[in-house]
Amino acid sequence: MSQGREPHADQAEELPMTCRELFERLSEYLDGELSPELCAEIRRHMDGCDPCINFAKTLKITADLCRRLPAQPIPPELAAKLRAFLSAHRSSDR
Amino acid sequence: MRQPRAHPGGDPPGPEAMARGDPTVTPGPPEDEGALIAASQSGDPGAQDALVRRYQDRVYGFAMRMCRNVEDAKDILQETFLGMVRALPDFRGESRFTTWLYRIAANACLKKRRRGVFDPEPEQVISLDALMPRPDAEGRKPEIPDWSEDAERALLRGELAREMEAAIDALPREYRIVLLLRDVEGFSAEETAEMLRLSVPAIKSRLHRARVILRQRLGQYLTGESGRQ
Repeated sequence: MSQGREPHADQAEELPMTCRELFERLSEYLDGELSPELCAEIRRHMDGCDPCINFAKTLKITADLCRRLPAQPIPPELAAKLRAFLSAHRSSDR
Repeated sequence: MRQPRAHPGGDPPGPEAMARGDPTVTPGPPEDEGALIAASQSGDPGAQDALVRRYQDRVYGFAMRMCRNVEDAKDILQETFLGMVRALPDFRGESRFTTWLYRIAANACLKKRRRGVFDPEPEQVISLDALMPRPDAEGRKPEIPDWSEDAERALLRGELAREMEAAIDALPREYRIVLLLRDVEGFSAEETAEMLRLSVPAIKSRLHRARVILRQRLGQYLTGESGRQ
């Protein structure tokens, strides 16, 4: 077992966030699901880390693009088949 | 939505005539969703049809993105809306109606194997370490290009939708369904967890992995570069 000095409690709390730690929480950060303290830590890390800033920006646009995918309306013939199907089952369920 | 029959006097009756209970008017299904659900629960076939029409586009789009072929999407549509009609008497409004409906749709999708393609049964767990960009041989942080504005422009030019759909299609099913429910359909993590009977942390974990995989593929498409970035 290591005989090294135990890290000072304050030092342990002040350890800056690593890229990996940020990477793990990035979606939660973008979705507004993290505490203000954790968000502040993430922003502090990103202030000095271009790779993390760019990763965050591109992850955010990825999620945004999903929200903007075009709708896929049901083809009319499929809608008609669905109506007929439900009507038939409605009759048989009575 | 079904329109009321024309008033024998000429123009279709306005709301005043309907409010008077004009006997010459056959009211259509209520437009308010709560009233539509209540009427459907009472067995009103017109109201049930209206509910189906209200959601069939969305459920179709969801089914197509999950299974990628019209035949399977048709099966999922039928199973979803038949399930809706049969289970409506049990809907108590404890969740949003769309959450309740999409739970039926999601179950139908997950039960469905792709035609002619074997979906591996065990859940694929992709570790975050496998997805995270790596330092270079000298231990320096990787260069991560910012292609977000390129993506925006490509989307506006109509160039990105097909690539997005292909990228979503390539996701493992367990990740794809979470991405579709959260980012495409707009449900919350809690609603998605309820629909899929998973914990919220599990939903968040799958969503993050799905987004990271999707991001990597989009980046390769937009920058023309392969490899982890």
